[in-house]
Amino acid sequence: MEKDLGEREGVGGSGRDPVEVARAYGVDLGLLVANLKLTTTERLRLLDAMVSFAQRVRHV
Amino acid sequence: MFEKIIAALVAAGVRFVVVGGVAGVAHGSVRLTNDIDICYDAAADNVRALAALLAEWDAYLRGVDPGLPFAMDERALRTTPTMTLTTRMGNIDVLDSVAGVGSYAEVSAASEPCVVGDTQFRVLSLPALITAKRAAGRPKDLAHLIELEALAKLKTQT
Repeated sequence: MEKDLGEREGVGGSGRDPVEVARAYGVDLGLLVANLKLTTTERLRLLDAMVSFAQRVRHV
Repeated sequence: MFEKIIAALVAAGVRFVVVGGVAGVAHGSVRLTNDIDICYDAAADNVRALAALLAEWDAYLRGVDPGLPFAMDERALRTTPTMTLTTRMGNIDVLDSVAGVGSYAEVSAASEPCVVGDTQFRVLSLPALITAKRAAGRPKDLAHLIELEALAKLKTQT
């Protein structure tokens, strides 16, 4: 039987609106909305680029 | 890095599901992660294929001093089915189950197809990823959980 996963909204299933919870927590919702417009390939390649940058950047 | 790892796993015929932070990114998370977590099928043929690939990448236990007599092979994966590894392809965490979701069979059932470039693979669904984060219950997961739950709601609105 398929599991019923994550059906309740809010942190830990509290029932609070998760978008409002995130906004109150300081999550940049604009970034999330912009990211949702990308394809999976674009998102994963962006992550690859960020990791690559983080690995190569150095203080001088 | 992650795209190459995923493509190589698929090319080697390894049965796996991407879970964790990279799965979150596939679903729209903006959180940076520098390791990829995969849940693999613990069947003998799959463990053999995964171990061979990890050995080819010089996999070694992450955070452990170099020089220990560690051999990345089928036996290592069978005796320690969950390992955090560093490889020359990047950091990889391999797991045979996911807290809150279950074994590979259950993880696979709770996964969905995904594509990067020309490579199709499976990624843990957003609801299952949320369940896993809740089950892990670590303080560090709270911020990620908040973001994932917001993403799930935003996806219903877009």
